[in-house]
Amino acid sequence: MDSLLEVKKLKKYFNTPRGVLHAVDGVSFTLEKGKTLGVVGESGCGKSTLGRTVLHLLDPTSGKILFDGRDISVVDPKQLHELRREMQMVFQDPFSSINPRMTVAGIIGEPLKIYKVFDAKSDYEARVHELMETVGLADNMATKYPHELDGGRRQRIGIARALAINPKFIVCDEPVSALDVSIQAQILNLLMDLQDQLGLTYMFITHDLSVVKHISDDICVMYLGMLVEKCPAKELFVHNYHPYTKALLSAIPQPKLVQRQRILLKGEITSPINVGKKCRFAQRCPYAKEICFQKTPKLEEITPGHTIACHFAKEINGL
Amino acid sequence: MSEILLEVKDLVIHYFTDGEEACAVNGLSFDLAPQEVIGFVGETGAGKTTTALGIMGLVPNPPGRVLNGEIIFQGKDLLKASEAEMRKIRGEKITMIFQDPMTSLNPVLTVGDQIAEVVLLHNKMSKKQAMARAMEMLEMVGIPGARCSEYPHQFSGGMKQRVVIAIALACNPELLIADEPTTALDVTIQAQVLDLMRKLKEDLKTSLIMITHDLGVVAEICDKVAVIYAGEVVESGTLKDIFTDHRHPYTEGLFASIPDLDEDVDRLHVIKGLMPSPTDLPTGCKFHPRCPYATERCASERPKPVHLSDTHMVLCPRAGDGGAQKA
Amino acid sequence: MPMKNNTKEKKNGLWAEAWRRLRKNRMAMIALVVLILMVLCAVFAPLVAPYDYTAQDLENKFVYPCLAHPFGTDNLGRDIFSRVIYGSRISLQVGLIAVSIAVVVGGTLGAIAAFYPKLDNIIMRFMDIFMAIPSLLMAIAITSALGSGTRNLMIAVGLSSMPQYARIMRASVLTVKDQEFIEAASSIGASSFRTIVLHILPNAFAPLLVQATLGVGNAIMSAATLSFLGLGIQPPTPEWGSLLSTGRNFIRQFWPMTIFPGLAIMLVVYALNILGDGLRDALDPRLKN
Repeated sequence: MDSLLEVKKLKKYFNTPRGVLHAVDGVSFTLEKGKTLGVVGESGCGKSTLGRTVLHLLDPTSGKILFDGRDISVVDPKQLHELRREMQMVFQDPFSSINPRMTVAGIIGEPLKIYKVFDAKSDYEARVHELMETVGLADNMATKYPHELDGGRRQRIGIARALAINPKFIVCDEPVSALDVSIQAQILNLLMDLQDQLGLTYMFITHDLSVVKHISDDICVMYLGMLVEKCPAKELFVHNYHPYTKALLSAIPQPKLVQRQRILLKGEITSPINVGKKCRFAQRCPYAKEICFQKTPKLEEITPGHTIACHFAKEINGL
Repeated sequence: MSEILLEVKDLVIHYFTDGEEACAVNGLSFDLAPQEVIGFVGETGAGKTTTALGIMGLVPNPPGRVLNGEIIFQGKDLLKASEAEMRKIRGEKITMIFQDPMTSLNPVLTVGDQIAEVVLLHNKMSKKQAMARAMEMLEMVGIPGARCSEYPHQFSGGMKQRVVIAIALACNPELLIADEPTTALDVTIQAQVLDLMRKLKEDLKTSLIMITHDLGVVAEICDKVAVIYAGEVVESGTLKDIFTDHRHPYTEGLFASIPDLDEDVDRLHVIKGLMPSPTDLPTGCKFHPRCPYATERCASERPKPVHLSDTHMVLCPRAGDGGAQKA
Repeated sequence: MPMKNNTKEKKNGLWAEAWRRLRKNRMAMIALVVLILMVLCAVFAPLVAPYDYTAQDLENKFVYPCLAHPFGTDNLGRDIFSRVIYGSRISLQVGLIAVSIAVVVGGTLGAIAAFYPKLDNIIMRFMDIFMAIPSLLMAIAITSALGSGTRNLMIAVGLSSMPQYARIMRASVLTVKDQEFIEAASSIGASSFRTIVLHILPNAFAPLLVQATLGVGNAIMSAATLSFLGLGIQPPTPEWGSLLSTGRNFIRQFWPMTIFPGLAIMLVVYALNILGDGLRDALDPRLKN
């Protein structure tokens, strides 16, 4: 197995006036070269923080990050600058993630300028041109400003910028959630094509399970800073064992006449402040018993390649 | 259908800015019976929200202007009603809830006051009675009445949207227009709010126009559907018509581009091209530049509605001449 | 595939583009012409002014506007038109340079405060102290320390109004800094310098620009107050503010002495304001045309 990214017990805490916020709390996973890991959860579950911590846009509180065999848990600014050549990010909001005062070509070419990739101007221009072609932006877009383009095209700019310096690994933070359905499909297809052509490895963060299903090899489900279930993507939609995953899946409205049996959760998502020792999902869990409020469940392998964190995994699923 | 609550006929609303004319709504028609729920489905810029604002008489003027059409509500053309009459209708007979629950509540008033305000505006009753009504409404949307005296910031997103729904329903309106009411919410919270709306629709016998881009939400709650593209209804019918027998190429594309949870496909289906700009709509059928079946006729001739049954209308000639009999 | 020209970034694209857009804004162009005319008048004052600004004609005091004296004459029989023309030399200089000092110093400090949270408290508390002292008092203190004279006057007026620019800049930078494209810049490895110069400042300076155009009028007035107190420009050198304050003594009996310098100040402030608005729009590619 050829792993590109290995994350071990990664933690990211924030100090807030109300206490310590456990945004990411002991998350571990391995990601193989050329594969896609889908990270799914609702707002406030720490999925974006996880992505940003892996990229060192935020510094981890503790834990280990191994990238391509190197330990990058702690890096100095110079190492970080070099590291950025290899790991990039595509952001959620195509309207705020690109500078409104730069032209399309300027935005896409910026990483090339920062890393002084080309000496000759013509090489630089050729690369920008090539990138635009790769992501499907017409030539005449080069001198346009972002506001002149629609959301889908703007997201293509963001993708081209991330690809500019040939990274190995890209974190996609909800890259399609701000787009219309038909445009969503275009961007998802583009990302999948790029992966095939360039051998990219993705970490794909989203709140939408139906989106990750198509693009991911493995899926992690997060709840309040912790992984609650992890397994191959295909498996998750057939056998899901954690009560939260079940509820999340059943909550997606299906464009079909016959709807799934819905599991309605009580209450709302809180924030992981002063969490203490309990299952973080216990308050909303339909199966919660006393122990769930006393002990944090550990991630355990329930069937080969499928881990979940629940005290009653076996009982609930009749295994 | 015997009785009709709302009938919109050939509605045309354009926006005029900087010498440009944006054709937001172009001859849109539909009708709605009492207690019925219709879903408006379409992408950003299709004219769904403008239509809703048109019904409410709230199209910002300038730049917007209603150029043509009739909006007949309980036998009366709202486009001919005076502003004073409209003000009475809004809030009492027709109410609207918006996408973002965070910004539609006033942060310096308690939620109780905000519900009571609407009640007092449209009913003759004492402040005390209005507050009692406010508490009743909160209970109805699943919030303890005692939280009446709390401020919006003390509520979470889903709770705020419940409060907004309570305000909209406080005067027992005949018609509720909900503009993407669950889009800003998390999936599990969205499920709760949809569940609530479904219950309320049964209890209160209010008609509902549900504006959404999500066909899943439509399937959850609507009786019939109008698929809107470039300011026109391109296909309409009962839930069953649309979900099992959609004929318009755009509807087809919409369904195909949604990733299916139960099936495996390698590539997602894509509707090629982009939504046309409302300032520069194509001639003929507005969908023809993106349509896989387009013929020369589509580019020049405006398609006429094809009625496949009493309920099912398709704005595409293919639907009539059997072209839609795909594999 | 042949390279097409349009993949190339235009040189000085932002400014050329802005100028093209500004030219389409008729009001802003009128304002620009007015300002250029006023600056030219100031530069070529000896050629434009019909009289010497010190020439007294005690037999023709308080003459109302007529052909010989388009703006009339003052209490010493001096031609008001000539005095306003000569006055513009000092006033425009003081107004524009003082505001430039305030914008550069205040804007820089504000941007630093916003960008480096560690310095934020130090800089902004210092600004608060600065602001707590009435700006006139501050200006008086600075001129008394540096001595009178045009240059020191400009420094005093500039520094005393600097904190408000720092505040505006800080608020503006903080808003921009929170946007995702700033995070995107650091994700593609941009240095902080590059991020500030290329991504933050161009998106943050619009409110500062508008405030600056409003500030010119205030600067002219504070300069006048200082001159009045004997700390700025000394009579008989004319300057709009001092013309106004002398005129004030006769405002009930003889209006031209206050109206014309007042109109001159108003014209400058108004023109600058419109130009500032136009510039802000022209520099924002989101607002087409």
